[in-house]
Amino acid sequence: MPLDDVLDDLRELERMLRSAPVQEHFKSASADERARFVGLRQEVTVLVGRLTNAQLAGTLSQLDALAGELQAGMRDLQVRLTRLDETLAFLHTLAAVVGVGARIALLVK
Amino acid sequence: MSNGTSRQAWSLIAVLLAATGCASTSEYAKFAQAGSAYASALDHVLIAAAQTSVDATSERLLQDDAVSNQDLKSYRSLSDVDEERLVTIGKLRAHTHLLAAYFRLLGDFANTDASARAEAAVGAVVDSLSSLGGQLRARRSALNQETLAGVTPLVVGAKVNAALKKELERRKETIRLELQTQEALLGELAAEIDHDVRVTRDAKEQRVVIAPLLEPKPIANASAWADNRRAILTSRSALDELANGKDAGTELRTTFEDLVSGKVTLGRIDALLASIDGLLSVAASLTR
Repeated sequence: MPLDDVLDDLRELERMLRSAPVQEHFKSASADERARFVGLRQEVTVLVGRLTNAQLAGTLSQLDALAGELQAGMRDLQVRLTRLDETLAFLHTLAAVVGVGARIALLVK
Repeated sequence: MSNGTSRQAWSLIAVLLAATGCASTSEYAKFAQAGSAYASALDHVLIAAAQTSVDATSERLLQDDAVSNQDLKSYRSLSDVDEERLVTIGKLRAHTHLLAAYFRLLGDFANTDASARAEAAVGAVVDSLSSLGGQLRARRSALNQETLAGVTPLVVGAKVNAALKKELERRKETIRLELQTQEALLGELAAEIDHDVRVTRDAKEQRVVIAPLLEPKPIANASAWADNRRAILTSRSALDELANGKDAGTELRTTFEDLVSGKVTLGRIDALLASIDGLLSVAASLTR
């Protein structure tokens, strides 16, 4: 799967996580949940930034298998977004997606 | 044929050749002007891209801090991405300046009086351009010189003087590669600017428009609030202009290819200049 598609998916994920409904929901979560959510969200942000920089520097190539996993995770996350009140389940799914993202990030190094 | 008639015929041929050379000089001079304008416009876009990137990170950090207090480690991890981006943008700016310098020299080659000076200067410019272009391409297989073997080679048109023809024969494919590199990078940068503008817009709307509106007490400075809201909501139009702006890179390359092949007209170069104006307006709107 080309890098462009992976980046598009991750950018969409970041915009979703930074949208007003998600931001407002987590403002009223527990301190631990807030810290965990922000940490995961920042990992997505850093991943988007690093992959973009790698794309601009021309140092990244195809990411087939991992990109497929990422897409599956994002579909799951989209479903969880409709049930934000199930905070723990949402955070668990987000963590799984970020985990795939971290493995993608290793390819950048 | 008498000597007088023969002299007349040769004079006529000389006039025709001179007229042809003059038309070609105008085209190269105008393309040099377009190349300089493109470089100036793209420089503004790159500066705007750098600012947009940094501002988007600031909004992200503020957004994160509103939910959970931030620490130095978090700040550094986001800021380091910005620093890396600024280095790449710096290289792109330098690459653009070198391309503009080359196009100015190309204009000089078309002008017989200046071609010797151009010949003395062009080698260093092209060496720097290729070196920097090589860094920007790195392992991009789609843009490496070897893979251009299958692409139709440019054939230099007949209507150029000897010095210009010699220069184009030598460097046309090198310059085409550097223009393709610019085109690809501009496209990728456009996608990231698009994303940064959207993230900034949404986060800023939450911070300076929605949050104050939802506060129990009335908004203190209504005019400032309304100004902020307008600026934020109309930043969307910059994204549409960016779509037009990034086409300028493609137009520059195809115009260069047609110029070398002797197929370009002054009208076509005027259209290129209009396209570059679009690029400049993109940069202006992004930094408004």
